[in-house]
Amino acid sequence: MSLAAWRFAAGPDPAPPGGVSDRAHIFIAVIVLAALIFTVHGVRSYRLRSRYSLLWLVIVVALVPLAVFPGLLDTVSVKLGIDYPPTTFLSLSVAFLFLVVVHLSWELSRAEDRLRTMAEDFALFRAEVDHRLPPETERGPGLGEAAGQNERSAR
Amino acid sequence: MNSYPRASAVHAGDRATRGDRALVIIPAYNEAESLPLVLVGLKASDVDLDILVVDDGSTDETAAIARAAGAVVLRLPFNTGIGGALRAGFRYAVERGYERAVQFDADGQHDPGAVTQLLAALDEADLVVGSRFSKEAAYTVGATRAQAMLVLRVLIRILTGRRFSDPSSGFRAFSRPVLVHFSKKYSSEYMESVEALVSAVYAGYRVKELPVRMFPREKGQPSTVRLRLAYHYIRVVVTIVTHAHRRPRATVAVRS
Repeated sequence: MSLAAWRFAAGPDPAPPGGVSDRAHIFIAVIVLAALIFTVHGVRSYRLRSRYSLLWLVIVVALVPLAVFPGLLDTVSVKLGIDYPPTTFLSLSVAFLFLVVVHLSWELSRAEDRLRTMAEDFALFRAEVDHRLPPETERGPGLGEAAGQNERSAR
Repeated sequence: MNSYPRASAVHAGDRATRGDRALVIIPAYNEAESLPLVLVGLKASDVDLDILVVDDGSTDETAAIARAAGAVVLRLPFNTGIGGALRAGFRYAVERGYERAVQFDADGQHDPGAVTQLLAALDEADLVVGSRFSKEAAYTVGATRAQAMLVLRVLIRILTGRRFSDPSSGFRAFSRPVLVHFSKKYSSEYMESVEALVSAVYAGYRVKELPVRMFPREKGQPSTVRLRLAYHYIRVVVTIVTHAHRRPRATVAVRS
């Protein structure tokens, strides 16, 4: 079935045995393309740091050939000795998602560590300032109070 | 970790005098109720002590009370946990050139009179841990906590090959090399100070336990909820085990 015919086709679009129907084929390609554009756009507009997008880009780029050549998954599965091709895809998906999640935990730990060091620096400098100011100096509500309130509201 | 030349240079002039003074580091999180008595007790001590209260993001009057009592206050902008508060204190001690420091609880369970003993014991050790469970110091805890502490003791024994009767004691004295070590290495995940004990032994410092009298916790909320306590101790055990890797013996004797 041609693409033009598919556009107007209202009826069923049967898939060949063990394959992907044309309609599904185009549907998958569109989704992969959207994911690629979304990720690249995120990086280009500085909303997504490139180090975080890298894994996602790898995933999306890996999906492109699969979307273009649906038969590829079957070929790869046979080569790997996996009888049921979707298993190949799902296993790889889980592996990639696992990598992404571990990467994020890793980065979060690092960010927390830096934040803590900065909090210490801040406290040390603040003590330094307190030490230099004459005792009668009026101390307004400082950042400490503000942060305390934020924390309370966050709980 | 970087050194902080600017902050320490400001007080370079004080160094000579600060060197032989001792710093008492009091980590405090919402301890406005018990802190005044603690500070009064420390001021009445027979040695001259500088007092540093590390306000770990308290939402009460902890910082104001400490400042009014003449203590230096480090105010962390948010709660970082006992490990975070302590490291800030160690960094302060190192930057200001203190040769000795004592870790002291804000909840009134430590005896200010014992600070001198702990400091004196630094003559033959790098880290001195005040123990509340030796015969001279009768002290009791709840059954759940006692079990957890037994597990910790056994674990410490396995990891370090040494017996500590009270490895989680937060009443400790530090020599400058240990202060320097902890100002870089103290993890915010150290919750019970047990982890720090293992780290100090592994780094090759001389660690000594000293029996001291301790008071039962008066104010503040003792963590009695069993599940929370269990969760807490499981985290402690995980931290100890994952952080326990022997490093080559540190070159300890570098005293500035």
